[in-house]
Amino acid sequence: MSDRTALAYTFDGSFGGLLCCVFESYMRKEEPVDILPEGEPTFYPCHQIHTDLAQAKRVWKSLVHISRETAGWVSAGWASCSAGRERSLYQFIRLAYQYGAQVTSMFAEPAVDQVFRMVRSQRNEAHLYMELLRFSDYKGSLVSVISPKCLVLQQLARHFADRFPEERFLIYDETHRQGLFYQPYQWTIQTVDGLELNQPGEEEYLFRSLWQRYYNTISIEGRYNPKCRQTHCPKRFWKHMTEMEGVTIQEGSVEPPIQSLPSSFPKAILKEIHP
Amino acid sequence: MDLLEKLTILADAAKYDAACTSSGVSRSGRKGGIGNCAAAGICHSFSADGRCISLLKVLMTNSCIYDCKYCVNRRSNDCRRAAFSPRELAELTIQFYRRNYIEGLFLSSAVLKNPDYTCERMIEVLALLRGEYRFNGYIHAKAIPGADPLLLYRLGTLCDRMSVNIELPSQKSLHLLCPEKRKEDILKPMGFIRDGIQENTSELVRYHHAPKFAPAGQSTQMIIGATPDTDLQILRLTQAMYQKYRLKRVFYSAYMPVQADSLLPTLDTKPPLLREHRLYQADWLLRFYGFQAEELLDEAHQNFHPLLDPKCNWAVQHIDQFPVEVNSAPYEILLRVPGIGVKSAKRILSARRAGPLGFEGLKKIGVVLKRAQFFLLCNGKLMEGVSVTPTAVLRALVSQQDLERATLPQGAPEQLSLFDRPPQKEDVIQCLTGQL
Repeated sequence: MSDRTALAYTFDGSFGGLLCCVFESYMRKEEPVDILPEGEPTFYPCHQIHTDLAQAKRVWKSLVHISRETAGWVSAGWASCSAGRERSLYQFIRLAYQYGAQVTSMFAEPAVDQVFRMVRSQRNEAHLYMELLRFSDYKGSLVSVISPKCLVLQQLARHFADRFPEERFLIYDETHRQGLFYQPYQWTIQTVDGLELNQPGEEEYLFRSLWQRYYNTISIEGRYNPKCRQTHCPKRFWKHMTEMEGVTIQEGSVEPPIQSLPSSFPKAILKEIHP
Repeated sequence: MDLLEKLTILADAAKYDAACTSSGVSRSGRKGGIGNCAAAGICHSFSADGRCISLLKVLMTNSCIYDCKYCVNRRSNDCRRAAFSPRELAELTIQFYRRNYIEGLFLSSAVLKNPDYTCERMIEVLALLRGEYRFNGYIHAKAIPGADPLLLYRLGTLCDRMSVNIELPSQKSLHLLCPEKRKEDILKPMGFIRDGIQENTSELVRYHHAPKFAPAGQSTQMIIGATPDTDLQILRLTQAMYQKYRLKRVFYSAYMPVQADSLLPTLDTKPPLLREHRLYQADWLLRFYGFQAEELLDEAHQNFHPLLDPKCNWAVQHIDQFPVEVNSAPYEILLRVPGIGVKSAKRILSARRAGPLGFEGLKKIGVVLKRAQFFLLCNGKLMEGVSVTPTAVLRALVSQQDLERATLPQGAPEQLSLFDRPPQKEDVIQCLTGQL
């Protein structure tokens, strides 16, 4: 394998396409130095891979066969949409074939480490959206708009389908222009070109204002701590959150955590530590 | 009074309750119903004070027959009173829930007329939610001390978690500030809930469809800093609560002065947030790290160290038990090393089965070497360049920021000075570029 010319694979940019790249590389007994979506510039000579869903399925099945976790990592890593995911995932899959299920605990391998980070960020974001996503009622159906970095609709679908089995809802992913449509006991994720919403009804405004009032009331003034809030609830989520409309950060004095030193504390040492 | 006003009054009255978790029970959704529960709980928002908002935390009513000195809702306080009707509150909960604002309801109440009546009103709300609305989400209910055990049992079968607030950490303080409440009144329902949960577990084994009684357990909370109780007293009480009453959680709430009273701290007292933080740290040590209250504090040191967290403090005091060998130390000992948590201790156990661990490996596992380096040996060696002297250890364990704050004079009158802090890099640059 090693004495051949360095080669890059290009594919159509779909998840199936990536799996076909894996398939091809084993068929042709070569290891591409890079895997790129079509049209991206590269200095390497390119080999174009055609997506064949039957091949992709074979690769996917083999991953599930190794372990559910391994397959889960590959799909979550893909959904993370982070730069260079194709290459890391390709190397991860190679390692998975080599070492089997234990690949997910081999953090010393750079590819495993990278994929682990991608998986973690994807799952964290999906979880954050389970927390921070807000629905609005439009004539009995629920609509929510989100702008995630990763593809999170799959996880949200499972979560909200279980939570609201009798509702009809739509979650629109602005970034990737995808919509999750749910009606009792079935759901689908489809590409949506754009979403234009009418004004919601009066009742919706009532509950929004109730929620905003509740949000403002529940915080204890004497403990005002905007930094802590922002750590838990990053600002990029605010624009779609009902209660964050018009929230400004005041210059508040956060109480320094130290009140006084106990007499038992060795003063000499303190002096020494303090520059 | 309209709903908006009611919500404002009753949420405002409930906000000093610290507990707002939705954890402890995992339940999937049901066809025809609404809601599910996740074992770890889900936070839905974060208020301006940085605390999570998971549940709709409100009082059923804020008019109370008691006159506890620290409480905003006390009888003698001149404030606006309101009460939800059961239907109103159930509807509000469902509407908030389906918009994904909240994870469920946290229902508490001031005592209206008498404890039984109050409890019945709460049961009405929960029965409406669980029955008519087929609500399957999380419900946390406060048990009202003094209510009939049958009512408490009914409440327990409708909610997920129950709690009774101890409020003040000693009988003396309780007697002083809430003359109408007795310690027994608080402990009785706690014991009842504990027994109920225990009976229920054995019932569930025998009859699969037995109604579940408070499946997420019970919790309590106490107010920190309203009375002169020491950290040691509080921690001992906490430990007794976990052991005797099998509580899931004990919450601490730094006292916010809301009432002027000669028996209470003055109104301009700041809430003892650091003390609350230290107590939570110690609480975790009790629950997950196998520490005992007596190890962390003793008669000579009755309060926590302001600069060192309880675990570091313990390690510094017991430096003779360190360093320990990463590759052979048992789990219990590893847990006591500052910088190693439950997760990393478990990872060390599984990683060292494969081969000897070095400091590089520990870093990847997630051990905080900044703290752990002084207490660990890898293959019989300390980390390169580490010398264990009391000064070096303290220097590493105390954060620079805390130290600066501690050494700056606090509130005392002082003469203005050009150099009230040592000049830093930025100051020098500003000076040099003439931007002063």
